[in-house]
Amino acid sequence: MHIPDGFIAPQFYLPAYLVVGGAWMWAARGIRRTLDEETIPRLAVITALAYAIGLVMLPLPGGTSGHLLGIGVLAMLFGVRLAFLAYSLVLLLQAMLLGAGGITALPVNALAVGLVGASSMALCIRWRSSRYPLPAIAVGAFLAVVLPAFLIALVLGLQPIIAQQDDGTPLFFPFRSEIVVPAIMLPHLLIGIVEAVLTLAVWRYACDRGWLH
Amino acid sequence: MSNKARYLFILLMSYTSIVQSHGIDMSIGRAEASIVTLRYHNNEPFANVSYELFVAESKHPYQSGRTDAQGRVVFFPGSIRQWRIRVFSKDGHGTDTPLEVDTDSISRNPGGESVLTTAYLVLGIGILLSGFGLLLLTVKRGKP
Repeated sequence: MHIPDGFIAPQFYLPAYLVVGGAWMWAARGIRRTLDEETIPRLAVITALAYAIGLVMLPLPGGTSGHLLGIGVLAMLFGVRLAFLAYSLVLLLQAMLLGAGGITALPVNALAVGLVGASSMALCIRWRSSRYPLPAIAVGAFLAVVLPAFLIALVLGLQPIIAQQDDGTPLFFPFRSEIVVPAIMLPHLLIGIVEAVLTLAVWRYACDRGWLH
Repeated sequence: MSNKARYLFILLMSYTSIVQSHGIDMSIGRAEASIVTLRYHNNEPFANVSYELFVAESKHPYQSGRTDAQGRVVFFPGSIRQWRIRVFSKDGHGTDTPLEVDTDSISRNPGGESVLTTAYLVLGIGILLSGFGLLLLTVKRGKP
């Protein structure tokens, strides 16, 4: 979900920057209390992992490709606020260093993946069964990919409606929701399954080391 | 020839020219073209996706279509140096980027150099780890 610059209209990304700014302030509040000498190195490594796996393109059926996110792992280990901030940092670095995703798309990606993705994982963890936690974690990781993908598809599908030339030609992303939603969702259903497997592997590793409470 | 016949002749001649304007002439020539090649970071061609090519700041595309199976767009820049290309796939991948064409080659936009991808990947990890390292120092300093 590396939406480049030029795909999202200013009528959308400027308000989105205001919203994400507020969300970053909310997430940063009280962050010092949650960080300690044990948490920070783990957060550093998992954030670096999310940065790296987000750049490894997996070939998918239909000639397209996709990548894992790592947001499920971040949210599982560190909660919504830290996961949201860490993933926003990942998106910023990917955009600035590698041109993977645009600066104008950053608020949309951060809100969709960082906030909605992390929140869906956190909710599933909260509702997990103490005897059989695996299904809730797998579903949470799956939803942490699929829900943001759906939101981003809707945002892209809105662009030809909200920004057009006088003759109706789209000024930014040209495809409407009925085309974009299936094109984005189908690959992300597969990516969600792979992300769930990765998150379960990290969950088991984290449980063995007592990282989860 | 009577006047009537003359008018009829002129009318028929003008009709013939109208009919001819609906025909299509074709010629084949050779010229030097510029080729823009679009690839994913993993070197897969960005194939069969929609593109629009603009002259510099123009709002209307000079050329549009789909990239070929190798992810290429071929165009004839003539004397125009400043271009902009927009490429979209239905799943949200693509680019919107300026191009500068010179007589020998196309200068790529910043960020398009796939050779540097690995270096930037490592640089990003370095920035992340060193940033969190600094954060760790401040947390340690804050504790008794």
